[in-house]
Amino acid sequence: MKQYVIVAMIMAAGTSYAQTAALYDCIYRYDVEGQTASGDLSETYNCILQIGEDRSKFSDYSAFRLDSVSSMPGVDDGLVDEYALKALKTESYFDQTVMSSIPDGKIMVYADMAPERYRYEEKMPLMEWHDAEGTDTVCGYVCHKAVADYGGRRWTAWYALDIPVPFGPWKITGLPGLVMRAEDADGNHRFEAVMFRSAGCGIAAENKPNVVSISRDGFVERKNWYDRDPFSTIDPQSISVMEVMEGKVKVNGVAVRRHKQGVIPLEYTAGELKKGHKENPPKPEIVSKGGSIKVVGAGSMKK
Amino acid sequence: MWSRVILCLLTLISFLVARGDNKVVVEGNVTDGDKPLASVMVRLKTAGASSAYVMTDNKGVYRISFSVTEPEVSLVFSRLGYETEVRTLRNASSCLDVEMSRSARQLREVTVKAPDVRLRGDTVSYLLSAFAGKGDISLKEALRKIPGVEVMESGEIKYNGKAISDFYIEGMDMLGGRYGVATTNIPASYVDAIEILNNHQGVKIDRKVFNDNVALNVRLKPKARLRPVGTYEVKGGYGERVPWEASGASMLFREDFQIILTLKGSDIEEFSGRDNIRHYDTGGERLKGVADEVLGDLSASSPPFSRRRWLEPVDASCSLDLMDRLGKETTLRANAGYSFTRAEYGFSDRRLYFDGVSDISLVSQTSSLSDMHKPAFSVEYKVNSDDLFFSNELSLGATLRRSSVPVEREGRLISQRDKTDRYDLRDLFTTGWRHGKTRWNSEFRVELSSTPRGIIDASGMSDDGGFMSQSATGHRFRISERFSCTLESGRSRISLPVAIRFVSDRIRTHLSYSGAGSEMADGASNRLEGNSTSLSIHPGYSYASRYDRLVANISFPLALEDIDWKNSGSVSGSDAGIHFLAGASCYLNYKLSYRSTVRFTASWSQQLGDVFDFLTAPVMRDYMSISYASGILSKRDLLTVIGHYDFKLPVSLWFANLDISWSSVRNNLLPHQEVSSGLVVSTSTLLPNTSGSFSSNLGISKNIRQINTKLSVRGAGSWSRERREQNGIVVNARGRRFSLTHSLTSSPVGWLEIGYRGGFSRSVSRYLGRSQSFRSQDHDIDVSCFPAAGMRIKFAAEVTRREVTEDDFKTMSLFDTGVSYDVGKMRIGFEVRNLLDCRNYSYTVFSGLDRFSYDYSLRGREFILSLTLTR
Repeated sequence: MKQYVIVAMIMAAGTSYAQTAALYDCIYRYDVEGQTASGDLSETYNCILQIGEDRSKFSDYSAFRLDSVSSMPGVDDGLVDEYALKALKTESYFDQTVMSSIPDGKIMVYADMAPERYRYEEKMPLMEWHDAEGTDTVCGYVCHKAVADYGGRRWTAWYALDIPVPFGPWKITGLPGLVMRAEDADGNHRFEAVMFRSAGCGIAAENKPNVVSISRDGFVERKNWYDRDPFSTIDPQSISVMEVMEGKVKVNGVAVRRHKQGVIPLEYTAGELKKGHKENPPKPEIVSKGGSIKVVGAGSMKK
Repeated sequence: MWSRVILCLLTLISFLVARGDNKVVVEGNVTDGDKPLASVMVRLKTAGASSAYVMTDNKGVYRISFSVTEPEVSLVFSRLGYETEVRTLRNASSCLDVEMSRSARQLREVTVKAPDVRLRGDTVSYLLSAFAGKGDISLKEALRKIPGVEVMESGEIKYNGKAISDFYIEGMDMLGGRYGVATTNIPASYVDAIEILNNHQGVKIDRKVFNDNVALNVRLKPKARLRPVGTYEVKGGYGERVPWEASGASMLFREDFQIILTLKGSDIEEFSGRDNIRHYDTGGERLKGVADEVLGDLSASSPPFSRRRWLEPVDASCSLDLMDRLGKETTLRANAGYSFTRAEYGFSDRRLYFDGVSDISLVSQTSSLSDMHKPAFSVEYKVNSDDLFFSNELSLGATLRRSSVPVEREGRLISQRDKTDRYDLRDLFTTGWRHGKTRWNSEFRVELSSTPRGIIDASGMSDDGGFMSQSATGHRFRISERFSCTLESGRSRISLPVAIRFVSDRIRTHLSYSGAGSEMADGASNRLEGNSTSLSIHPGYSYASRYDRLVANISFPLALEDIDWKNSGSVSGSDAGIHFLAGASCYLNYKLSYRSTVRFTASWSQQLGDVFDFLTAPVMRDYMSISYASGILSKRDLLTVIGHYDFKLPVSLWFANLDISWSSVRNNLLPHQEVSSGLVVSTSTLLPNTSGSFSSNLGISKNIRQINTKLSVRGAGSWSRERREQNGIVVNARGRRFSLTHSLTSSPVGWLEIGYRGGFSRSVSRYLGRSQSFRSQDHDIDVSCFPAAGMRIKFAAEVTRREVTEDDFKTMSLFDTGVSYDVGKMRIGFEVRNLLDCRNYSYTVFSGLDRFSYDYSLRGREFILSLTLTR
């Protein structure tokens, strides 16, 4: 009996650690438009911000669906695999997960950059907001306007005081209300809330194994390189398993996503701005060296 | 207690420090009565947004500092799940503790409706439900309401005056140009959005090459993508004939697979021809058939009003269209169909032929009954990737026509019959690939058109029983290869296409004829055989500035054509030799701004005639028309200049386009006609001449969202000059035509929809001091009321006023009415067509020096009951 109580407590603890209660969900449409080295870029992502009392999580909508299914008790493995494949096949996939925690006073950002998974932390608040004139109604809520500079971009955000949380899409946070719309001055990036609803499930913690902690600058620079040409940043010696599934590639279990039309980075480091990477994106260098690769046949999936 | 004392002391110290900075500090604890509340938003409430805000920490403690001039300030304490608290206090540093209580109130859930219009790059997306009305059942009807879109009577779709080059459903081109099948069968309620793809480039390896094509993509709602859907209809009624119709269309649209299966039969509507019109053909112009060129179509008729008014059809058809995405970039498309059309109609006509002094008048009454069978099949395999384009399309088809067109003239009944069988085969293989900065392309084509049977018989043409029997059979074969290499350097491209083409023809005609002019025609036969080989190069240069703001290209086609045709029939003739042909063309496209574009095209080309120039023995197309060729190869120099300007504000729903074109054609042969009371003989003579035309076309369209109204106006004017020879007299004729068409669709209130389309036109023809003009007006009105949910009452009127002879107008009004009621997925309808039982329709057309007036018999009043199921 004592053993069962201990097990139950561990499970309860595990559950409470694995998931935080969410109160509301806000679904955003994220548009990226502009010119890249490959030509015109016009892409739309569907993202979701799960809002708890003092935490939030921003991720791609298909990642959210996978998390929701995975966290269901007694769920069939086949169903989880099905949603994992859907997430893998999502063409426009927002590949960062941003978790905000008020009690901890920080934001944690996760991203897969094959063959590794990376994370970094930043202290809140990230941005110094300045109020601006004007109100607008976004997703049915009256919003006020504020402006801030971050990562080499000037962001204009519209926030709803009726939703008193300092959260928003991606890292657009720190205002006294939920950010319903945010766009950069160059017209390249735009987040807009298209749905606000009661939460259907809790906020799942990011519990993936072997995550590499890195500095914010290191993360941003690596990500900007990786997005331009993923395979140029992968050292073949670091590859132990490469899988190909319905045209999608995974290296060491981490999906490789290529942006055929190019990318327009969300942010830059001070070093990148100084080198002029925003105006003239550099061509990725080939950094790979020789090495042996074990290839798992197409159609297989590691569990 | 001691903690509160310390807190207040600290506040006092902070106050003393802040006083030096003129800042006020307020701090305190926030609790829910028992426990401290963390993450509570504390903000200073000002006239606008908040100028200061903080959050309580883990212990529920907050500290906010600000500097304002008001004597009193308000602090707002808010947290999800709790009632918001507002405290007003003096503008001075202080301690303020707040207790918050739980709130059961939930925030409003909101879902944003998709925008009516979304502009993303070159793609404009229109939410169909924002524009379509309750009365728009099919996609075709709803498309008419989309800003900038016109749907012509034939079903052709244009955007801002330009015909679409591709029609996609969820990104897949299943129908290969026969998009009438989709627009008439897909219910508007299944369509989510219409995407207009400007500057569309369908071939991925050319995605960076500028293209001014416009394509249309249909986005379906999820309910139409998950499972098979369909529309099934049954109609029956009462009229002169018993009207009936049974039709079914089953469709499945999945991400990797699409299929449309239709099965229809009707004597109310003629749909086979309408649904199967190929509005665009990526393979280019098809080989002309022998029967079409030599014999024409005995039963062809095209009066300028809706065919359903005068045609009594019996239509039956079945079609299967499917597309399978075999891989990410690989598709297999198959289209198969069979249609049977029986068309019956009647008219009387008066033909005035100018004979140099006055007009020869020929009056007759015609009735026509024709049967046509058209089986068709095509299959296309395509690979369309960023590095490789590969496509092979095989198409087979046949047209089997039987017509009976008796004519009553001067009290005599002349019977005419034709039987024509035609078979076509075409294979088109296209491939393209890139290697570095070089783009390679190859297009190989094989075509065969065979007319094993073509015959027109006529009898009763004279008191002694004149008769005519004209046969025309033949085969035409064409094989061609076009190979091109394009070098890219910076913003320039240099291309060098080389093409070789071989055409082989074999045509046999024979005429047995007793009647007027029989001495020249009876026994006339053509035995025409020959080949034509052409080798051509089209060197060209193109330049595209950054973001394709300016695109220019020039090319200089040069060709050597070796012809060898020989007619060993009753009037022999031949021509053999090598001809050199040159040409030049330039194209300029300039984006004045994101809203407007100007385009200029100029071309000069030399063209040679074809094998039909050597049909030197007479051929009869009907009981009174004889034609024969001169036996001289026709040569034309064609100069064309076209200017285009378009302006669009897709989000504001303004569209305008202006097109101006001028052309001049220099011919070595002059059309020649000899007209008598019994015979019309057409040929051509060697007499160089120049004809020209100038036309302009201005269209403006605007949607007014506030009253759900779309207004379109189009004005056109054209001037032409030509030379003809008639009854030995060479005549220079000039023509002018002006027209103004306007349309309006409006749904100002939810229960009313109005549609109006009107037009005015005036045509003038001048020659030898004579002037003939012809004026007409058309007005189509459609009014639908929706007095209750699911119920519709419709009233429609077609009013035309046409000048039959000078200052003699004839007005015709046709009225239809109907009512329908929706019960779940079923619609029950009752309609009355041609309410006033109007039986005749008259109109006049000019053709060079001649004038033809027609009086058509119309279908009488009909009562039709219908049952439609959509699922």
